[in-house]
Amino acid sequence: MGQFYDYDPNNPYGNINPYRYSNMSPEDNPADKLLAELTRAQLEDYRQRFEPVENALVGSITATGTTQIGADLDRTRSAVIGSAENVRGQSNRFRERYGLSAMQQTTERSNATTGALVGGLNATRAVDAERRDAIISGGLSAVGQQTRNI
Amino acid sequence: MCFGGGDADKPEESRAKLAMAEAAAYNIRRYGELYVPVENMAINDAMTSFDLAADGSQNVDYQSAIGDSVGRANQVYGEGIADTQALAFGRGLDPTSGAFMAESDALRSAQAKAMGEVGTNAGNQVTTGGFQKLENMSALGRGLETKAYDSMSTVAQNEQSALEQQADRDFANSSSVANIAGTAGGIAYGLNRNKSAYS
Repeated sequence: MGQFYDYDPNNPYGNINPYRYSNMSPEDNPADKLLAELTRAQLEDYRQRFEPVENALVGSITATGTTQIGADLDRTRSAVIGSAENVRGQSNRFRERYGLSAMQQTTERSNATTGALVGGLNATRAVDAERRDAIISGGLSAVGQQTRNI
Repeated sequence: MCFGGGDADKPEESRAKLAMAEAAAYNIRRYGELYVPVENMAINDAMTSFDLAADGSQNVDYQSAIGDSVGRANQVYGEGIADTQALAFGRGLDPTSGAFMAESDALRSAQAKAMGEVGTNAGNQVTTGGFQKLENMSALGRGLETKAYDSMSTVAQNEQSALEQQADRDFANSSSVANIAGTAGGIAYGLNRNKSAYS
């Protein structure tokens, strides 16, 4: 179906005149004509404003989670490693006040950071998989049900 | 039954049907003028949930959620550790002693772990919130019921609550400095919690 009137996304029903057919003879079915205009306008509005949202939502689903997993994992790495460096800096400044040398990176500290990082990455992956399931079983299943009911 | 050709009367629509159609058209025009611009703001918000900032950094939702959470964890642990150390020194504890350093090191590790965890959780919650926005807008377009989702302030409150519970456990487990200083560590952390603006 092509565009049947000038669509304005900020006022998509502005071209509808409720009284366009008020003076038409009842034999020419003016109510049907007006309702048909409304239905077409609603479909066009849905296609213009909401289809892109559905496409974005469906397009975000991957085999294991969502397309946001890469960015989430990057943020997790940044949060864990950045926090470890921040705290090491705080600790070293404290030690310097007492004339002690800066903390060296020991195997124990390195393991603690690695452990926190692995835990964070695993948690992030688990959350992403849950999101995928929620999208499919929540919003998308409802949309699918609606489509089947039409 | 009429088999005649010619001018059979066409069925007439009722006036009531036309009136209802006109009312529907009026209402939908009004919806377009009043609510569509507001819906468009929400749609735009949902569609840009995962966009980067203009300079290529994380967008403001991620920056504020992660920054606030990590900052609060840093504050809660940092003040707790500082107060613990101050009380220990006040009781004559040698800050260069191995026992003290080992305990400080353990608390600093707990601090780093907590900061990393709350930062990770905050980021993940912002992403989940972005998908919830998209789901809501999709439901709106289909005329389905939309769902309330956690605001950024609710996310922050959840993180704060989890953080305080974790800090309680970490400081309670920090026994050696407290023992050396006569339970000063636990007392210091408790006092700090009570005066903290975030408690």
